[in-house]
Amino acid sequence: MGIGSITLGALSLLCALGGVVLSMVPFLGAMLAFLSPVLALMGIILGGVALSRARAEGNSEGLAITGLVTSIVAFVPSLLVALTCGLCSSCWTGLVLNPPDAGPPGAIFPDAGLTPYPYPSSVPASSPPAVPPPGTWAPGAPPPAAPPPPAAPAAGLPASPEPNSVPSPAPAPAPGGLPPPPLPPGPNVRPAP
Amino acid sequence: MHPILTEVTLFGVTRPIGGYGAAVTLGLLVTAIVLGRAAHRARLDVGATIATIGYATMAGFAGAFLLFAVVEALRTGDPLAVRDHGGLVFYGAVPTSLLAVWLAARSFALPWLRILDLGVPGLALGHALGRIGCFLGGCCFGAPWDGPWAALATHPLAASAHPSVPRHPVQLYESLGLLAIAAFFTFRRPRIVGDGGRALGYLAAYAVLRLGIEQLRDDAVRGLFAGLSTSTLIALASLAVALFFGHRVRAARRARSAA
Repeated sequence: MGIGSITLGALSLLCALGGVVLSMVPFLGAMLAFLSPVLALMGIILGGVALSRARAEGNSEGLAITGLVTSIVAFVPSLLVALTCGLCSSCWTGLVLNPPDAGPPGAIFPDAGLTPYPYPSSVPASSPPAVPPPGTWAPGAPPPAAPPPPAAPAAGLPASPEPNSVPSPAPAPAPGGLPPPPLPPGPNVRPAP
Repeated sequence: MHPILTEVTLFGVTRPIGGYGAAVTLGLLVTAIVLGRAAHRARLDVGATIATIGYATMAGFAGAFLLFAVVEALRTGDPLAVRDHGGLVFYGAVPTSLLAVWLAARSFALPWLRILDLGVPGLALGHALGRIGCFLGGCCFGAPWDGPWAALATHPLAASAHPSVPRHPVQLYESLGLLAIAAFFTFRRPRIVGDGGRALGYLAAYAVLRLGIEQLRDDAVRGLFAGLSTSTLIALASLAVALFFGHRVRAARRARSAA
């Protein structure tokens, strides 16, 4: 049983490694990642039984303790792999099985909130979350404002090019339209004090 | 929120390490270490206790995933709804782990109620760490709230960031409650350990805590039946079971002390 425990611990480590490396392979990555902690737990059970029998019969406990330690050491990374790469790989397998329609990024989260936000919020539910810069939002303050929407196309310019038209590299600004925003300073330009 | 704690690179392949997985792993290790030490102090067979922990862990994960799959199937109407996303429900682990502990203890000739009683502080501590993992991962989140200690998730991988609004940090509330339960069962020396009284006390205390927490949670993945979440229904049932068997345990203690 001690040898079985050592073998299972080593196999668990190998499966965890395979689960990490092959997590983008559908089915195989998820299978390896989820099999790894199961093997480690089986190794722990075998090691515990071997330790119990060795103590009861007065035999040497070395093999049993080695198997137990190997399996416990294998269990930690294997559970990490299962709960990270395994979940990711199962999501990937699901996407391969059922390619989703083009939707908002939030649609991949099945456990989105039940309650609509009761406070004035400018973050639409279907858009990716706006990341406020550190220090700009304090608890108790209203949520940060979303960036302004892109400017509407100037009058006289089509919103999208016609199907058979030749696209121009840079359309000239319409009279009365806003000038283009200034480019950000380069790395060697020092801002004025 | 830190859904991704760090990244590891093996053979040129870089993969993230999730905060949820790290916290759950740490919680399991803490639970096993505390129970193993308690079993050693109580002069129980440590090897058999470790094997019992292994059986209980395996059965617990299976039960937690099974309940999640059932709730998802009922919620979405798709029996295979979990094929493209995973999840665990703590209350699913309770009956399967109890069954595994009972079977394993019978096979190893261990006193299973004593094992349960000895495992209560470690279980509460490990569970508290697991809830911190929920906070890191952004799952099991709370209702929108604009209070002074509201948590705002901004990481795109956190489910609570869709939409990204301030919310009750219910995962931390539950973690603090579980830490208090763990401290109570650690520092309060019971007169009798081994008749299941402590395990029933933990079941009742956690059910009360969960009933309160569920009122502040907002994630749709819990499933709602007749206006109550799955965990609310299970918490009510487990509270009833704990009170019923707790009454019987108390009556048995009185009868023993009178004799």
